[in-house]
Amino acid sequence: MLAQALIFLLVLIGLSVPVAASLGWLGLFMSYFHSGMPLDLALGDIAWQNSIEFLLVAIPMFVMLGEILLRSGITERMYNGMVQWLGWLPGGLMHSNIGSCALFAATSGSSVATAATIGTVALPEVEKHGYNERLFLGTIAAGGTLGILIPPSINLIIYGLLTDTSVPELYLAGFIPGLVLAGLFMLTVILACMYRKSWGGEAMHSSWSDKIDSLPGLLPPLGIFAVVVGSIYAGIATPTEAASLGVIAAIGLAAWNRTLSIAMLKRAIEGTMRTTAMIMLIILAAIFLNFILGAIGLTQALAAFITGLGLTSMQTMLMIIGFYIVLGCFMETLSMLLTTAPLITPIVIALGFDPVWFGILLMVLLETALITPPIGINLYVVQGIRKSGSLNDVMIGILPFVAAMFAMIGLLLVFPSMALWLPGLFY
Amino acid sequence: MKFFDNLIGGLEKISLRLVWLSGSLLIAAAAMVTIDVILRKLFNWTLGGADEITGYVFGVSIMFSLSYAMIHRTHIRIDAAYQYFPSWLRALMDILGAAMLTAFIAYIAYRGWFMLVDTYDNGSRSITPMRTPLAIPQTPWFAGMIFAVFTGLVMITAAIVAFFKGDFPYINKLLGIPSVDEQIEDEI
Repeated sequence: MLAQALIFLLVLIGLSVPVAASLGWLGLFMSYFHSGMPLDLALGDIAWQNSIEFLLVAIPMFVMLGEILLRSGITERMYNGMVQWLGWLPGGLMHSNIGSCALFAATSGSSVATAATIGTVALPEVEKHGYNERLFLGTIAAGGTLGILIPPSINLIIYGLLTDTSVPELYLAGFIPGLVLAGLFMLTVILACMYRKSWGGEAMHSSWSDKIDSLPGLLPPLGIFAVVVGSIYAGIATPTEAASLGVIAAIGLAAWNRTLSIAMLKRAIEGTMRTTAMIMLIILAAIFLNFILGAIGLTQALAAFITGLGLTSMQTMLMIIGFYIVLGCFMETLSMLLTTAPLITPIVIALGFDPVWFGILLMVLLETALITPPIGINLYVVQGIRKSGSLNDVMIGILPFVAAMFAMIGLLLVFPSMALWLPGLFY
Repeated sequence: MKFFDNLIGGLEKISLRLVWLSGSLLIAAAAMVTIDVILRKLFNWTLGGADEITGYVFGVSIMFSLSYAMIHRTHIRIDAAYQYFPSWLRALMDILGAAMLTAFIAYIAYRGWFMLVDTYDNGSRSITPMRTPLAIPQTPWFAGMIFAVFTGLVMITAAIVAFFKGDFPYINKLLGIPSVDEQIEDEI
């Protein structure tokens, strides 16, 4: 049964059948062959109940928030602000790339949009300042992944829903690891530039008055971040309510910048609804599939198979991590999360790991998947914006940051409290 | 293919209107939820039912946007193997993928139809203080899926006609996996 399901899924996905349809048909197939009851009768009800699930409304709201910010003209000023604050470090603008990506990702949540937006602003600077191009490209592709981990992350909401884990708790847990990972990226740049001084380009200096002058570019995104995440942490709002606050704040910010128009809102809405329809169809299919797999006993069979291997819990965890790293080379992030989290998480919990901690670890693994060749969407996005040279430059430039991510995975394994300390203070 | 281009162009126009409507309603819902949060925090008073209405708006907006997402080829497909296929096989996979997607949406609609009939027969209401007659949100929710299925069928028919004419580039443009450049263009 286990092998049959796996082969069926791999064949469909390998034939490039849309992920939503692959998951849905796998569910129908398994229920037809392995259940005495017509389980598919529940499909209408499952689809309806989850389409109106208030927690999931956070998804279109966060996507919309990002779409509006993207078009409100804050990116360039935010980037220039980051340059004033971080440009003095060895590696100069490369730190601004990471910082801007972290801040932009924190408000938008889409890694493609983050890498594309920051890339467009940053790439013209490579030649001007004589940076090592590969490393520079790496900072953008790697920085773009931070959105998955730093709250408010859409992926954490999906994980929370699929595994019955509290989203506010996950948001608290993601905060420190997100900052640490951004810090590790910056440390990577500093080490690389100390090793080869020429990679870091010309040094930049900015006075305190320049720094203060640049604040109006940095405060709006920070303000929105504070509204969204602050209202969740303070217990004023649920994630969906916080996302709604964020949408209204972003519209207000766009109006303040005089970039708000009907045409701009239309474009933001088009992008939002396209993404929402796509994500939600996969989520509905995945929830239906999980219902089927649970009902026919496959979830339990998988857990029994893994425990039957007789490994220690740490060995199993390392195996799971290896599995995700390999899978991440070939599969797109969202589909990976939706297909595996409901199956793997119960096993992980049974082994005695904390579901909140595993959620954070999983996010770092998904981030790694975004930049591991051959299928790492961020690599292609950065290359797509660059429009010249070879993709190999990006793939080589990203390697130090892949190493930084492995270091992050190691840190989370050795110091679980990195993720669990902050939520522990509140819950 | 002129006939199909016109038909799909018309469907796109309708789907775009549905998307604008959905997005506007979601922004309105965001405003309502924002007011609700502020009232609750400052005056310890609530509109009541803001979350329930937002949920219905969301459900309808998903199904209203399915067709637009299909026309724009947003539904994720994995191209790990696809990128190495010859163009005729890609075209065939494009058609297969679209057919399986359309059929899955049709299956949800088929099961949703029984639910909708029950709702009408029983006059079902939500088990909340609002006691919403569920037929109101469920009808457009169902209609959105039917529209998406129709869009899918038209696109698949166009692609099959093109396949027998040997016009693979047409199928790729209609149903193929978008290139990264196209994805970036969509995002910014």
